[in-house]
Amino acid sequence: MTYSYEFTEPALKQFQQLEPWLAEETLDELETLAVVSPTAHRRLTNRFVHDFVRIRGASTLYVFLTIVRDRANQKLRVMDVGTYVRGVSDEP
Amino acid sequence: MVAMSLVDSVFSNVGSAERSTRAVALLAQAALKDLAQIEKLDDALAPDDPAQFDRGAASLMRSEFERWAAYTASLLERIDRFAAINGPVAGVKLLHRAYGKTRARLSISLDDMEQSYRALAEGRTVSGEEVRRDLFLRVH
Repeated sequence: MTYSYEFTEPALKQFQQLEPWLAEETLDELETLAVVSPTAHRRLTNRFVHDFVRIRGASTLYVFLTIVRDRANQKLRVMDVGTYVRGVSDEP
Repeated sequence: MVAMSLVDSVFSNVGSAERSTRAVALLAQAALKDLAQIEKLDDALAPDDPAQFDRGAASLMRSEFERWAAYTASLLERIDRFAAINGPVAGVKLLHRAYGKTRARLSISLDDMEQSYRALAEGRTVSGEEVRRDLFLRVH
């Protein structure tokens, strides 16, 4: 089954801070998440998090999403978009 | 979390490199397990009604993630220094990823979270199609 997804207004503001290429990657991730297998449909909790990593040049970019699932309306609501960038010289 | 004094003792141990590498890998593994526990607790404390935001619980969980991130930053610094001399350590890539994910999580403030739940309750949301369209116009 396929869910649709939407952003809360504050999450959209966070999303708009992303560079366009990373914003596109984020939407692609959401579209993948939106195709929910029946097993996952039963298993997923209402609130879940999803993260992914991309490497661009010398930087590693981490994106973190908090998502609320509305089973009844088959919607994923993106609540927060967090990011962290680690450069080669920023080893913790 | 393993006490930093014990961590330092592992790194200053002048035993065989192989033995030290094994001990360091165990420290990385322990940190990953700690994070998994914090994440489980975070899931367990999430309100039954996903539209409700519990600021008190979110604040306590945030402190846990912050404590873990501060500890792991120190640990990774030591591990990376160790690995530069002694070669790769199992589990370190995973720990770097977990650290990055947690820092990304912590980039979201409690106020941001609360505002987002309020927006959800008030129906202030924007569809994915609209967001995709706006992004397309921004890029092209």
